[in-house]
Amino acid sequence: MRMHQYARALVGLVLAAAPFGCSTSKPAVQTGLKVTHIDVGRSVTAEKTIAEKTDSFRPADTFYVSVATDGSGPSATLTARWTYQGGQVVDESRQDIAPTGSAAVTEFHLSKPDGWPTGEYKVEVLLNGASAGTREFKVT
Amino acid sequence: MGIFGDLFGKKEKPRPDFSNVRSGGSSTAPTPAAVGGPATIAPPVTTGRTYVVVAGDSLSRIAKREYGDAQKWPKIYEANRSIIKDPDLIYPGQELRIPEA
Repeated sequence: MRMHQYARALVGLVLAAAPFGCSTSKPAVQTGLKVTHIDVGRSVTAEKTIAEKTDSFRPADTFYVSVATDGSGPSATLTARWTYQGGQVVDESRQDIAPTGSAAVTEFHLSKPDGWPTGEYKVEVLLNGASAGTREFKVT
Repeated sequence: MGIFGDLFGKKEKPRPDFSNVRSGGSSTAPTPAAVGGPATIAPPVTTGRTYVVVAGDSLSRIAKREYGDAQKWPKIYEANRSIIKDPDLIYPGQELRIPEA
């Protein structure tokens, strides 16, 4: 009888510990952080917001995308994936952030010394690998 | 594609060269390194060695094997951010840089 009680207690302990067993193989999930705003433009302010919004650039311009996030977390990765004409990857940049307050703004920028080819471009913003939004623009 | 393109009078446009684009960024949020977490955009690792992923591997398993500590998997992840999109997804045949412990 006593053996059964010990066995039950042991099973309970194992089940309680099970959710923590794989913690070394996965990064922390940022459940409290979300992307609230994405803007594209030609320049940014000191606060990393877009100073000159546009979706039509010139070949000599620098592209800026400003990403506002809300929430906090010890570590999150923002990615800006820039593509050209529906698929050709132009660049992919990442920034690791650890927002501590309620709001933060992160900017990514991209330039090309010899000028951008004209056409349609797109920037996709990802938060911890999951798409958080896209913005399309063109170079004329 | 090229044959059919020629047959129908179409010519494929050459793909633009984006190899010289310059990217960057900044944030009002602190980096994980600044608050004691893993390092931010890691500079390319020039020391260490290469490890080829085999079936059944995970970053924590490689970290356990290489460093004796599975918790050190972020060190390998940070050194290979250019090829690892998701730390939970690595593929057999991938060549990972293993930074020195």
